[in-house]
Amino acid sequence: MIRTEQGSATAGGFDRGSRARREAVRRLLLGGSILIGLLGPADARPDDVRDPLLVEAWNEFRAGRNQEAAAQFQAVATQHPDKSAASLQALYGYALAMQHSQPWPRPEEAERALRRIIDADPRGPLAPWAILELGNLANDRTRQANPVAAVHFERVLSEFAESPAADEAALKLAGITIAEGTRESALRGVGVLEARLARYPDNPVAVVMHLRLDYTYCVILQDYANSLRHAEAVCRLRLKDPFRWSRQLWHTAELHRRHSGNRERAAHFYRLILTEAPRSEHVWAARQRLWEWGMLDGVGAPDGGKHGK
Amino acid sequence: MASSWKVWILAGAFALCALWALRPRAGVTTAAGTPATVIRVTHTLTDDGVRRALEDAAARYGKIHPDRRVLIQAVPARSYEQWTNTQAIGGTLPDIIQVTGRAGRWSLYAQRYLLPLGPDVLRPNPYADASGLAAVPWRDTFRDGLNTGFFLHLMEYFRIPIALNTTRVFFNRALYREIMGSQSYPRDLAEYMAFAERVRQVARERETALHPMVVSGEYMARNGELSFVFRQIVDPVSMNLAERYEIAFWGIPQHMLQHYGLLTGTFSYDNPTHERAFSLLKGFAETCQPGFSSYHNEDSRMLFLQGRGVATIGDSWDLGVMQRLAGFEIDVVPFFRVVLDTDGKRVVLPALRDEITEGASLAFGINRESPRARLALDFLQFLSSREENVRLCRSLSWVPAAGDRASEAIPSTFDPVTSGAIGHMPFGQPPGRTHLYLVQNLPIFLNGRIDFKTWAAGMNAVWLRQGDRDVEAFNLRLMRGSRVIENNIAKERAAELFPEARGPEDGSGGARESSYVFGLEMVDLLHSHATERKVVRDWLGAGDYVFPPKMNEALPSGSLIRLIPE
Repeated sequence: MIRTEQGSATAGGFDRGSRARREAVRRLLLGGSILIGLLGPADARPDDVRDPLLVEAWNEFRAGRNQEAAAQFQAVATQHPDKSAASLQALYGYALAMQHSQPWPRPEEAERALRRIIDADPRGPLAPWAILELGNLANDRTRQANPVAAVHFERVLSEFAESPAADEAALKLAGITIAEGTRESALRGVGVLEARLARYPDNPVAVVMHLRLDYTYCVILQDYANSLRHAEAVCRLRLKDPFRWSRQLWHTAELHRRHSGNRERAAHFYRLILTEAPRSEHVWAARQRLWEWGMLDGVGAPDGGKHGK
Repeated sequence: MASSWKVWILAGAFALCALWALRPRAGVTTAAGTPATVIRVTHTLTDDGVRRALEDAAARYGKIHPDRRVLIQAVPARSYEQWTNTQAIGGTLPDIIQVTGRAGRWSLYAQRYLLPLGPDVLRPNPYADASGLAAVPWRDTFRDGLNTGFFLHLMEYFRIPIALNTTRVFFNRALYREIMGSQSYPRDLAEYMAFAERVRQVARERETALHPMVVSGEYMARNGELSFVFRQIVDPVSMNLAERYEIAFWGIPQHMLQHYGLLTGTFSYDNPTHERAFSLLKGFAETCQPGFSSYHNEDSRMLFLQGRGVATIGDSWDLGVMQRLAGFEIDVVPFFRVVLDTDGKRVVLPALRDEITEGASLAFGINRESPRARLALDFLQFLSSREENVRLCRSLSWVPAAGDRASEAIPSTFDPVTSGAIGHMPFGQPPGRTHLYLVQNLPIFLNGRIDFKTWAAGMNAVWLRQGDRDVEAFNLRLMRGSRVIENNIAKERAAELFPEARGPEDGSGGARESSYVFGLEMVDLLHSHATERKVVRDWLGAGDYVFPPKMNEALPSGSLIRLIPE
């Protein structure tokens, strides 16, 4: 559910609550849907309340036919009253279709539609997402440290702190702040993410925040103690990208070996490579490190004899 | 008058042809005579054995689903690109097409014409029951974790691999025995060099043009540091060279480390490790036929089949065809491991890294516009179920994409190597000037026209002269890639916000949320890289960055290669 400070909601799915609570809500909703399906009238089923014109427009957008999608979103927007949920959704879809149209995006059109959403319902559930997109649009035009984009992201963070849109806004704001390129700006950038994580440690994109902090502390600021703190958090929360997984485990182990000097902890992460990423490119080297320290249990050679002659 | 006559004859012939083409035809029917739903599959492997094997698989599928027929069509590889272009633009793409790459035009194809498979690969394969994988996500039933199906910059799975490919050394058994007097093939580079010397001696005695190895430029040097032999020799020898310079501690080669090293005067390509690696590479090159750089695979394999080379390098795909065409027995062995004498100990180095995820594979995508897209998906699930996949690959001597061991279908020598050397120093930044220098000068070095010192000095100079520009160009490409991902994130975000924006193929809320977070991970990583390249370079120039980074010496590691005595 998307919540605002006023507590209004849409039918969306983001929630920063615990996984268990989210699952409980889902089960409740599922149970309700089944009950309605069994007992209620046929037109009360969730699938039937989806506006078919909007469904069609989103289908076009998902298929990458943005011109067709934009035309259909426009048609829906004109058919419904200005501030209705359907009209606002259509405007949002229209903005996305314009923003991502290929080969030539139309950012001005997208911006106009997003501003209409904000003007129509400035405290509504869609407002923070529309402001976030304004920031993305501004960011997309320059791809550099961008004060205009920063204003939009800061606004989402300050005025809609409870919205999950603020999580993404924090990531984007941190990114463009670090990209300003000074040590001071890098520290401000990591400050944005540290503050957001301190207040919302379980937010849906927490793993990405930890990843960015880990990387920025390690590579840019060369602050390995802080890097390690977030590197371990990324390992705990797990990256969604399976192909980067062994790299993250290796990175965390190496931070321990080369900076904290904690051999046990380093060995823990080398072992995780063997058990959780057994086909990865880091396996041979992880076994090597453990073997060197006499911690490769039960195996006499670093390559298990496979690579010997 | 006569010419008018001919025109009428030609027009008549054309009309007859048109009538023949447009004649009413009986539809494809099932065994019971009822109309069958036809699933069309296109691929580039015109070999008759492949056609038969795929048709057999289609027949087995037809037994499970009598109401469906799978029609296989082969289009020659040389015309496949034009053919798929025409079909895609004309709206007549088959239901399933072979997807031969992930970059370039295939990236555009994926966006416009291919069905995104993300939600489906997270669910179990319905045909996995027999192999005990009924509860395992389809993605995890592949040997490569479906890496070869994933389009990184599109953040989506668009193709399903049916077979993997590994590269090995093929020997002419009879010729080898005749020359060496045994069937004991070289296992490491030192043994290979001894074998090569013996072949050259025999060739001199017999006054014949017999070469120890006939090989194409593609395997040797044409792709620079991505060439097979280059990676087999240079990567292991120079493994761990980058450790001292690593700023992210990922254990993988990162372009820029060499640039930072050159800028700070802490690294040079003219170092003993690279000199040793390049000396070994050159030694190997001298055992190959003259002019190998300009040879294509077909040319070098022809030399091998003619008996003008005792060995060649080939892919697992080639085994079946070579065995059929050669008038002699063929034995296949892994490429020769590099052995070094270090501190009086004999040290065997690991092979190149991660062969399983880097092997080109036979992979198929689904036409997004096909009304039979779900049935097409079902057929690919059938083909990639472990039992069926191994059966198909066994009949063709291919490495199966599913299943635990290649040897279930093909000699175990083709089993992909999944762990190997990490941490070697990279060379050029593709496709920039630095990469171009390597690609253009590597053959010249291997042919003996320049020595290692000259080559290394040129590599150093091109990085110092062109490195910034190459890195800037690379950053721009990263940003373009992130724009595509942003588009996909927008779709996932919309699906979270509005029920109307969810497609029928969408997974659960959890799966959607994963895709959204995954997208943000990818974008954030791309932006992190771009920022790092700019910031660290600027700070280095201002003397405001510690490079190589300081290290706590509490737990130092010796050189990795010194730890593996024989």
